[in-house]
Amino acid sequence: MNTKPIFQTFVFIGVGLLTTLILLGVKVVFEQTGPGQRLELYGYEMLQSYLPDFASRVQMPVIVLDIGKLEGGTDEHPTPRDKLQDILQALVKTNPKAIALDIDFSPKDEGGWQDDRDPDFFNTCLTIKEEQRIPIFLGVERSIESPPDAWLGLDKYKSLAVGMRFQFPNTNKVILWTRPPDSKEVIPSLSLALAQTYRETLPAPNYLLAPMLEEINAYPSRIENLDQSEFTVAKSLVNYSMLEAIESQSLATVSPTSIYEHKENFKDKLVVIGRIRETRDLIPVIGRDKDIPGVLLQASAVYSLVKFPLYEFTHKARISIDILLPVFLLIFVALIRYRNRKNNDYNWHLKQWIAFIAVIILVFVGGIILVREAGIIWFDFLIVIIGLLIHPLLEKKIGTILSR
Amino acid sequence: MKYFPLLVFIFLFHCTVYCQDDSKKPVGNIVKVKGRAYIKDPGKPQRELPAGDKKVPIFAGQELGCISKCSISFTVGQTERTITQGTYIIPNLLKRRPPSNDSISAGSKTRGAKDILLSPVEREVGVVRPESFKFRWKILRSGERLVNISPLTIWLNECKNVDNIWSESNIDYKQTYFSSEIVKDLLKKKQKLDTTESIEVVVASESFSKKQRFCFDIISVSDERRLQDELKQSDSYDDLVRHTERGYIFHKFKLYDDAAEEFEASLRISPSTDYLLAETIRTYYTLGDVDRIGELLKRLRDIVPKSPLYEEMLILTSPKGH
Repeated sequence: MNTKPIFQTFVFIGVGLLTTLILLGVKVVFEQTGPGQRLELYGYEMLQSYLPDFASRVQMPVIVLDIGKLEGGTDEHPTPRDKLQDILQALVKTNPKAIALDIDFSPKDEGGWQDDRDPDFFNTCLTIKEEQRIPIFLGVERSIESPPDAWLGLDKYKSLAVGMRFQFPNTNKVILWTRPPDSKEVIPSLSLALAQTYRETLPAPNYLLAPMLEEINAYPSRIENLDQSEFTVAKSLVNYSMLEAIESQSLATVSPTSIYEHKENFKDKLVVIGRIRETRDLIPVIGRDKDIPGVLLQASAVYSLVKFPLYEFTHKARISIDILLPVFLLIFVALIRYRNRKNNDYNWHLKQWIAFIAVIILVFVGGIILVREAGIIWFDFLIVIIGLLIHPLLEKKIGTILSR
Repeated sequence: MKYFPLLVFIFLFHCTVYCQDDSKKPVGNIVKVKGRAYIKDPGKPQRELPAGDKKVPIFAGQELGCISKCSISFTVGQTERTITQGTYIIPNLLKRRPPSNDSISAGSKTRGAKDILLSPVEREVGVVRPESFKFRWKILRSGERLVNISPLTIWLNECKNVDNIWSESNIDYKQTYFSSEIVKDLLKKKQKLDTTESIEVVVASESFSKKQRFCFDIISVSDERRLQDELKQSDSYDDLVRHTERGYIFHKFKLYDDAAEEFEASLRISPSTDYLLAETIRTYYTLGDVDRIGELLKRLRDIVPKSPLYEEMLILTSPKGH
């Protein structure tokens, strides 16, 4: 007779573990489906909204110079290089940390420079880089999958080239670097190149949590395969919380005099030059109603890598959390059941529900604390909450089926 | 062993001729030189280009310029350039992605094998009709294997100011096309009386490294009325003739998607008619549907393997020289 409550407790734990495994299997499959991915993105959007969304001009490491007023900006009519050169010369006098241009300077697809003055402009950039010690980076898009000597037309310009790609259509990740097919060299993204001039190493997560997180530099690279073209890329999450702050702090001017007058705004900053107004480079961002100018995405990616990077749990860490949370709950409920084994009126079902609700609240609050304090996006925290809500109901159903 | 020095000589000779790295491949040619011009290799003194010099290969990093009044015409990749003053440094060529089917080329000049949308047809190539509008895309293959593409997101924007007018996400790539009554109504409202209206289509997927976008034109109301009048005239014909006639009429109005559907309907009734196969191939050539062209070419070859019509279709759809 004495073994009966213990036996019952083991049966309860067994049923609970079986329920956990079933739910884990369903969750892993669900995450691969469209609705599952949408729910994860919704969780991402929700958690992003809890991130701090303001930084003063002094705190902000990056500033956007909006050149929307300049003519051109299309493949047919490129932005005039002489005007860009004047802007660069004026900016250099303000002592910025580094400058990047969010413009595609790749040679034309069919051959030849985008603008005949490109070699002169690139030479000016190289001279500034060498003589003034101010790093300058030029965006490339069309040529990014070509060998390094074609990124900016000639091998001597390749040190200026940076990628401008984000993961599409969910732009929650920036392509940190790209390695073209048959090449050992990688082209860094605009954001990575700028971040590396600002600080020697990229920010690291809390050392206790680090083993559970995807590292920024060692982000799983992936072979992209489209139309038989294969190239390797690495991606990193982008923190878009400062997007509006970056836009409001941007300066819309194309006059060298005006740039020099605002020299305090550029001093020791990472300057991204691009078009906020009058641009076709508009990209959807999760959580924003309207498409956002590409230059603001680049600046947000710079901010992420310099000041507030976002991390995500590794797959193993996610599975471990998925298993540990219900297992702890099971042990807790099993213990209170066992302690009250002689009390026939004891309503342990109610206690179980209370425990599950408490953990659900803990997961919700934990998700917010993790993103605010450690920059960790718990992508599947909403799915975990749904799983925890279903757990007692499914467990009861399985228990009933097994008891028959 | 006595042949060893000879083998070494042959190897060295072979290497001198062929073992050059990619950067030594020419990227273009001199087409024509007038007056006194020069060519200069990096780090070397300039040398004069003889007037009338043709077919001289040019390499990335070389500089072309005028010594005195001159004109140099040259090609870089597929671009032909002429300079009469100043200098021009030759850039490297971009690596071109291999086309998805190496024996057939199709589609407009501005869009290539990597562009996924087949319909709507691009601006200046053709027009679309709101009534029959749909998005249709290529099914990409890597060898025999289908490339797994994540769901598509499609936007429609105003072509002039990029204002978004419609969007739909999570469109299953495998369904090959997407049609929506909302879009048809929207395009109907955008239709203008006497001129075409341009709309931009943007398509993205997590599998693509960047968004693909282009503008397309909606047929004007007046042209659509003329089209309807012409279509009415073929109503009394039997099915085969009616579909074929309608195909020709749609083709005349540059409504290639509609034309392709009508020719397909004709082919279902008469699958072995060579001229119908050829018309359908021509239409799909304009739309850039390489896969369908391949299927139809095989059928045409089986029916009339040595005919001038088959040869004509082969020439039309074979990759053009770069």
